[in-house]
Amino acid sequence: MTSHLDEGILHQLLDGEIPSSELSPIQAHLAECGECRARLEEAAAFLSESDRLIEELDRPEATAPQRPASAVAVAPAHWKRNLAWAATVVIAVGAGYYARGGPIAAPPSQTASVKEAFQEAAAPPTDSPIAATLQDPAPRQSVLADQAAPPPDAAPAGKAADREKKGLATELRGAEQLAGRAEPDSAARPPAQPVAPLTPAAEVPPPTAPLTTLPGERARMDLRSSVARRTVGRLNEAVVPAGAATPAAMTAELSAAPETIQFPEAIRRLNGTLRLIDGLVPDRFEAIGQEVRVVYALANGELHLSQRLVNGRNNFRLTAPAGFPADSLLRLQARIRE
Amino acid sequence: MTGPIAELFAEYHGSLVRMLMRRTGDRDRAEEIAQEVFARAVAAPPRNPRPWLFAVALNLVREEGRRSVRQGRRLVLYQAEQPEAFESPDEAMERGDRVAVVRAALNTLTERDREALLLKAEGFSYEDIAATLGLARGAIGTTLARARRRLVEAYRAGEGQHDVAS
Repeated sequence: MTSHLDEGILHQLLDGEIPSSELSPIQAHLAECGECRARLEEAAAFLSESDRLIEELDRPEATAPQRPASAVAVAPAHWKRNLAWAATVVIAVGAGYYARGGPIAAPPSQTASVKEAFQEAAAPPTDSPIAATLQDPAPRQSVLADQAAPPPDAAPAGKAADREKKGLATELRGAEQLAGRAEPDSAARPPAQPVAPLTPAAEVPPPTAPLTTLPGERARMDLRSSVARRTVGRLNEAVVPAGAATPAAMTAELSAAPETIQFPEAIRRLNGTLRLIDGLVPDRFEAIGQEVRVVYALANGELHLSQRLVNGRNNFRLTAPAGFPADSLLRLQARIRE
Repeated sequence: MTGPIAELFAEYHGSLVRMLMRRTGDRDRAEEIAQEVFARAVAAPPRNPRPWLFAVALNLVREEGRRSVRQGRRLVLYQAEQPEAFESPDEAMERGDRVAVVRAALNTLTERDREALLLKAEGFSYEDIAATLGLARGAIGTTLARARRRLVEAYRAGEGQHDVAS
């Protein structure tokens, strides 16, 4: 009678690596020994779960820590120097709410005007933060080149770099436009929604952007000015979602009150993709309809990192209170990690 | 690239890159190392190709890791590329990143155990794992048993930790 089967044998058995000549005594023992059968089951569970975990590694990593440039993911193209850089600073990230066909699939012309207005509102100041970050990838690649011997066939190694370059080309074009150079597409665009120019006294937030993307944001804006409320109302009518929520449902979602939730719930709602700002402790988590909001308490108000899943991807938006410096907001945004 | 090397490449390149990707978390680095490995195979065609290719690749990964530690400049870059290599599973979970939790859990294994696991995931037989890593074939079952258990437990610890904390 063989003694109990050790773990190595159990795994070897499960891996089909027991020579056939040695199988029968092992099978005979298992037939008689409940304890070893239980341990075999446990071994099988470890085996299949570890296989599953290893396959998880093939998923693209959400944080993209290797690509600092993409942490400043701007909505593709057509930034304009924006004079309506208003009290509430809203940055459209997550690779473009509308570019991906967002939660609201508006007909193209309306998408263009909403998108443009959205981007106008969201366009940050022109200088270094974006441009500098976008030019970043080169140093890393040259270090890699140092390490490897010149490969006989360089193409495969360059693929990843090319992919990154293509993505960055769009962003660089955006940055150039931001700097006031080419704006090739502006002529082709339908006229944008009028955006109120910034005056020191006015607290008009970007009127178009937050409404259609941010349930709950409307409530926030309502506190500011009646002008905003009117503009928000106008946009509500302008956007006709094709096959998406009815206007009534949209309004309902927009006026839903935020519900405080706990961290694991926040993660669960976003299917594991919750984004947080590195180095800051959240004050609380809120759920508003489909959206999860991470709230950070600041001296003069709150920072909101609102996010939702769109086609399985986490799209997010960072909003700050009136008067919050734009470059600080950009720096915080660069620290957002999933 | 002609003849036998082309065949080697066709047969093993994808698997090699995937293993390296899982091992390093860095696609670019994985492809660079794979290129280096095949370049060396051209120079000195191996007799037992698959174990040889993967052994050279894993050696390169290990060497790079050590070089990074010695060279301060590269350490900064290395950290920027793979911050999750330096955080624990529950720290990764704090960030809500499942892939990072798995990677952090994998990093709690010894190098040998980790490598054995990744080779098994590429369909290596026990014999080939033993040949690649320079271990006795009889030790592979135990190695994999320990590696699998450890990976799962470290992952669960990283996952579960946060529920307890909140």
